[in-house]
Amino acid sequence: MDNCLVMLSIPVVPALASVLIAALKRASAIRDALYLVGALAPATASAYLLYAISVLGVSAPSLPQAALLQLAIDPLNLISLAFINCLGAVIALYSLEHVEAREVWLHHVLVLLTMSFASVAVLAHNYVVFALFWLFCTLSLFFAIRLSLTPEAEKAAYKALLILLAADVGMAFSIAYVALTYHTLEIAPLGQSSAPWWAIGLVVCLMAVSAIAKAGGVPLHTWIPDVAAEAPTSITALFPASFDKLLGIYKLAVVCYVIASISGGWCVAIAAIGAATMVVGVMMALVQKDIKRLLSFHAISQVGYMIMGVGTGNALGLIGGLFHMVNHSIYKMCLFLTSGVVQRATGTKDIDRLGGLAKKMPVTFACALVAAMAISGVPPLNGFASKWLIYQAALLAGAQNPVFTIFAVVAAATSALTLASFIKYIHGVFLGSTPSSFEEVRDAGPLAKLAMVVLALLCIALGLFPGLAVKYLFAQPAFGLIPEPMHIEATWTCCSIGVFFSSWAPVFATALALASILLGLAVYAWVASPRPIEPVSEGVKPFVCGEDLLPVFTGGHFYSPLKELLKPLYGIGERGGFDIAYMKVAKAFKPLLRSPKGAAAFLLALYLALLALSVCAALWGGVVG
Amino acid sequence: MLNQAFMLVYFFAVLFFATNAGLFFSWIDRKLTARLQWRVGPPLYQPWADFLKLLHKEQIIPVGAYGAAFVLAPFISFASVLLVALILPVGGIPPPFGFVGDLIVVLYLLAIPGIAAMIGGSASANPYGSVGASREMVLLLSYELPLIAALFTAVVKTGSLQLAEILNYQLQNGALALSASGFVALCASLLAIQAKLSFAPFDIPDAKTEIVAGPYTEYSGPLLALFKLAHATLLFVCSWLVATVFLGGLVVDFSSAFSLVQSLAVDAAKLLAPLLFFSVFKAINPRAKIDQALKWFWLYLTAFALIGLALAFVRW
Repeated sequence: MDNCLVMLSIPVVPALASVLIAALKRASAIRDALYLVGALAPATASAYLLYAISVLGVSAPSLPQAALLQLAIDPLNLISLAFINCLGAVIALYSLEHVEAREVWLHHVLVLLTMSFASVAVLAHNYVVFALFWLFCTLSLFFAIRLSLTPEAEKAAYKALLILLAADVGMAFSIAYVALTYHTLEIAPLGQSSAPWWAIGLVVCLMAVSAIAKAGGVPLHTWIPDVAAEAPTSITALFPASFDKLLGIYKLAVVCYVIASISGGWCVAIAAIGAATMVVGVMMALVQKDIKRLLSFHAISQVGYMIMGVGTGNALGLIGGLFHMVNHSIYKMCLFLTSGVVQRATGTKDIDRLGGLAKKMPVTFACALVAAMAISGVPPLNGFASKWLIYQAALLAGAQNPVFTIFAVVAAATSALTLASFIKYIHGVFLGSTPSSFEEVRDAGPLAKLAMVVLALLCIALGLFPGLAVKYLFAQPAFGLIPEPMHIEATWTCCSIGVFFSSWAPVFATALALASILLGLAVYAWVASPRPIEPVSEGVKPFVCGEDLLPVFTGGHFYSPLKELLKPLYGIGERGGFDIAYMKVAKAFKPLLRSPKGAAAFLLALYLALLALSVCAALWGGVVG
Repeated sequence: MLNQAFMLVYFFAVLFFATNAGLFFSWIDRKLTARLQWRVGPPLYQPWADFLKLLHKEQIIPVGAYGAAFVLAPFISFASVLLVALILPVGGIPPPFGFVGDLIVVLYLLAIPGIAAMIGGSASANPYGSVGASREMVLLLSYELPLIAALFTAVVKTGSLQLAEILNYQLQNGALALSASGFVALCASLLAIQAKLSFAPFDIPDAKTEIVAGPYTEYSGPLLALFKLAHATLLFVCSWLVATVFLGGLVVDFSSAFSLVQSLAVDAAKLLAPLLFFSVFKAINPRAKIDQALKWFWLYLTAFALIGLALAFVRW
């Protein structure tokens, strides 16, 4: 019962704190304290629950079945719950010092409320509760974007809202259908029924589509770059980088393996969406010049790995997908925070006008480098561990269906392209030559530094101990949902889980690499000691063949050969690409959707009406039954 | 404890062997190139002499450079190549550092020397360094796609992601290069590795007559020596990788003195064969432009490598 109270405190405490902040409004020490407590308390509580349940094996708390809310912890939602609250707390730390938002109190309220909403959404085992809080998350994203100071924010906010709402209405339809057919609102496997197979298929499809839209899969990804470019940094780092992944991929896993049990062609379709998402995201990222848009296209591209992991249909892939979801939330949040620090310090996010900031902001640079290498999957960081699992899972699925092997090649190649894009980010922002206007630039404040360092350290820790993370966090839900068939161990030695734990041992390899680097540095110091390193102040200028001028080569020009080669494809992207398709759909509904506001109101009303219908259907079913 | 002691011995043995073999391979490469160009070429000790000489040269860190990244880059480059050498298996010796799925780790580790060059070049504050870094990156992403497809062909053929398993499979079923798909994959990976080594026609990132030395422009003294050593070791390690995955792998047979000598001779031949290809292909080709390389790798070589992958699925 105690743990049940702890579980309930997770959504309640931030909600209460946000009410108090809304009452205070004005900046004060009390408001800051409320904000911190409201964010840190659920983080602590969820971390405690994670430890108690996964490591100590305490039984997971749940509210009595009769209670309307049907909140309960299971191995799958525990992951999302813990990281939603812990990463929310990191954002609270970061945004305590400075927020580039119109109304700071509203920003704080929205951050806390979103933590609360998202927690309830993942805890809910009831379709309507889940759908309501899922909607609240979307709405708070909408209001949070509008806090931004830029004029385009309004447009970006409506774009995000409309795409997400449209996808969610589909989900509401399927919830209503389930309620009408099965007379239950509990999120549970769809058993045998008289419903035709195609209707069940459609239900699963619509639910998966709304999950993919939230996470940012192709073709419903286009809201993310606009949000990233316009919204305040903390909001971008909170929503598209982190919460929307933790919610979207969690829901995709629920839809695929709890509600339905996908296999065969369904797996191929989902993995294909994953592969397409990877490629579209990374190719667009390569040619971006705005650092936040660059990062946002990676927030799309990386979702591809998660979707593909879920779509492989084997437990290894689900472990990899969930692990990647967590990893991505961490390093992408860190990257967005670094971009925010850079933008605030220099006043620009144009990669062509940035450069050489590593010396001015060493901590930000170090965190950005760690996170950039992690997202590129460089061993021994966390991104590598999860990608490594996903490749193996895809190759494993490839033994039955060769198309998965192609997906594995695509995934591995995407990783190289991701690296390329982050070399551009690191070079264009932190290395290269320093523009003279940046002489006065300072590093971030202590709290922002703390937030970034915590995230970077998490990247390293999860990279060094992936075995522990998999054992305690991901193996239990994955094997609970997909009992692994026995024949795999015979044909594919890589996938027997016992072998897995004893395999890739990054601690040892890293220790070895570090030892050899240190050994090398020692030898180097010994060799170089009679002739100390030429002091920089003496002023040996870079060698440019005797030219006077230092030609500046900025990050924006990094991939012009690529752009040249793929000109026709990029042409489509620049003309609006997927947006054109939405416009065409929107035109068909023109009388209803005269203004974005009207369209949103219409979709919202439809959504709520469908949920009300589901409740009625379930209640009626109860009465009849 | 015995296991740890063996690992430590193995580590230093590989460190010593891989670096010296690398320098020896770079000598073969230089000598062969020289003979093909009707020159005399350097004596055998030349790579060692170059290395020691550079260790004693002065070194400069230019104004505006980001010192930490500039100094660390060559060490990271060397350490990653060394790790690959530790992971690569030798038949007949239990692989102390191999593990399940190590092929993917090797693939990633082999990208790190390129990354280190880019970071070092970018940190040097030299515009040629930046141009070199950009070219290095474009080249990396162009050859990585066919290389992955080629290596995954071996995975499909053997059903394993572990190098030691791939080697065992070949011990029982003959070298992969003898099958149609294996041969296609071998050709594709040789060409991709040609670019990884930045050998002509893909010596684009450090094109001497265009951008001084690309990322290495500002490097001098011990740091340059280390980059050169890492590159020489990479030459050896790449030959070893090709020999392991496609040519049946290296085997040391301790059963009798004669079989020991025989197996070592066969191993040497397998290691030298890729080197011969890299060297000759380098000597007879002019430098390509970066956009040509990108187009060539993505359109033609990738298609070629995918044909290999398709052949592997139909068990050719």
